[in-house]
Amino acid sequence: MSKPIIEVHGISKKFTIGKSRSGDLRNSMTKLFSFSGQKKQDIWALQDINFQLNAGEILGIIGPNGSGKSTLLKILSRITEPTSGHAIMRGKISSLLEVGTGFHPELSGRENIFLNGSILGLQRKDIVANFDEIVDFSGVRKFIDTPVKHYSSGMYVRLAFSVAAYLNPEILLVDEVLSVGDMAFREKSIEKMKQVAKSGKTILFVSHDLETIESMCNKGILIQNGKIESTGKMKTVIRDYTSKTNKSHNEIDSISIKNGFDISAFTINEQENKNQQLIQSGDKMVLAFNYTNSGNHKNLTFRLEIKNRQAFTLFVCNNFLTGNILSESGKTGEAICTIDKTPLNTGNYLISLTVLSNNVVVFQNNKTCIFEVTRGGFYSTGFMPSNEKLFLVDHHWTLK
Amino acid sequence: MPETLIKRTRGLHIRKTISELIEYRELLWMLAWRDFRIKYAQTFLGLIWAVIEPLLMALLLSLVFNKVASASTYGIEPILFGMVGMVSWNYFSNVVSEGNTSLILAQNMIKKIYFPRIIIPLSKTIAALPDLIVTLVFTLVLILFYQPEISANAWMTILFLGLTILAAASLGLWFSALNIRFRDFKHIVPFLIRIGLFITPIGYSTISIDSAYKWLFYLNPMTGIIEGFRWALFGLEFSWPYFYISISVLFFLFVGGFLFFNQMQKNMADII
Repeated sequence: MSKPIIEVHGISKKFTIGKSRSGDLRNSMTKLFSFSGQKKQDIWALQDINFQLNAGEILGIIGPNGSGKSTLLKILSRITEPTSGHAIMRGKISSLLEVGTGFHPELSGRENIFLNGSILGLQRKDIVANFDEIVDFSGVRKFIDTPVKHYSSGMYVRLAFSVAAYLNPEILLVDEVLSVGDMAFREKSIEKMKQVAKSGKTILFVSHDLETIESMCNKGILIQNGKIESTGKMKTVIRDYTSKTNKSHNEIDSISIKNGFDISAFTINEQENKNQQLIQSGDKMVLAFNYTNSGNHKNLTFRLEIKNRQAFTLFVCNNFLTGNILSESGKTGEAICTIDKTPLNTGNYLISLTVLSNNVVVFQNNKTCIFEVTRGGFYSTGFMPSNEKLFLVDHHWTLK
Repeated sequence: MPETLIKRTRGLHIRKTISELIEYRELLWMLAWRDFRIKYAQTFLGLIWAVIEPLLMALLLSLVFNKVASASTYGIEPILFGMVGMVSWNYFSNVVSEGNTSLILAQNMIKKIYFPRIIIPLSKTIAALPDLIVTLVFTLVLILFYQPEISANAWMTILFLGLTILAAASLGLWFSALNIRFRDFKHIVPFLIRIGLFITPIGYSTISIDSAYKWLFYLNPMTGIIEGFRWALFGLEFSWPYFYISISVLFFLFVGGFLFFNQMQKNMADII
């Protein structure tokens, strides 16, 4: 068996705060001659990070801001040294922590391609060989001999990313750079990255964009407070991460009204929903809840509101609307709502449940459950619009 | 397959720095080319500026030292005498002042990508070479015009030009690295360069200076280099023992600058 491409053994990084290390002479002089000294405080940005990656594996690193993800990437790209531990990288490394590093506004697009390329570690002959492709990918051929200071910010970013797209390393370290440019270019650059991933490169990928990271990576690491909190399949790691953040921020079950009516269980697709449930876009979604009607309420109307993260109601499921008269029987029962084809785009959603009897609210729970929609086969092509489009709608096209 | 080991570096790791410098030589040229391009971008006179500044300075210095202070130029036309001194000094002061702020101005790059940091101050020595060549050509024109007597050792000017580049690189390394911790040097260095213009024998010569404190002048490596340059070109009097003082100082500046920079480059991205 061949050796892993990346081996990380016990990498830790300490920063000392409360002591300015770059500053002025007077500061150092006073420190030199005073015995009191400022209080120094050590901050461990990373503690004992261990993992291995084999050839062709794509690792996604996620975690909240300031958790140490970027520091890890900086250590692996040799920008800064670890305080202890070591890592072995087998292969040519390229790191992409920013697009357009070293771009100079006075230079033309053409000149910046060569300059930025050599900063990224490309050989001149490689740039010459790929020059036309780079320019075509960026779509700024018309302005290639214009100084980039006259470019729009979109053109600038497109050109900068295009140079990076033609790096040809065995190991690629990427930080948040896919979130640049307009929507169309973003999709294009994500596609490009996926191509690179398919070609057998080993990639480390840091991002906040969970959707992209999930679609690209097969292995994941969750870093919190400088430590690895979860590792394994990307999907599982993302679920760990979202359930953790949801637990702390979104207490489920905030019942505001309970009047002789209660819900004992709520399931989505026959699964108890306590934390977060994954549903694929376009899949059948069965929302069911067991109730006890101790107040013997008549003429029940069930209303499920589906809200997005910003608590904006997207749509409502109401048996009054559909004309499904539910003739209640006895003190307990199960109400089931079926959505044949989930029309939601990827993201997190919230369900609130209201039960009315003769137009009087007898039960209301504003946070009945949270679920997450992931990429799925809503359209038989498997394509999805970008995730700020809220809904997916069945439709078809013809030419006449 | 290249294998990279990432760990905290201890010791001097001089060999690593040198082998990386060779590996990244293309970047060294690209950065130098960028600086050169930008310096004359959107200027009307372009490279002619490389002559105007040293020429005016040479005129001014020969006016001050030769006409006002009546320092001897030993039979050489004062303007030519001053210009020969300015060739080295102009290059030296350009590289040192550009090198001084080079790392600070490149801090975004330093924080975002890895490359041997030493490339940044070193690229300034290359970026200023076209200017040096232009001033040399102009000096040659002056020589052809005034027809002074040329020494048989004229080929040795190459040696002194080489020493000029070495001196500029050494101080560039020192000041750029010092700036990482002490931004004071941003203010100190321009001041030092202005002083250097007077304590370096550009418009005058150290030949007639009292030997009691002549050695003080030679603590400045540029003194030995410029006097040597004029010795090689015109065969003016030149005392080798004094020159060795300059060379020793230069040697320590170079070795010290290289080691100091090496030490500072380890965690440059964290403290810049």
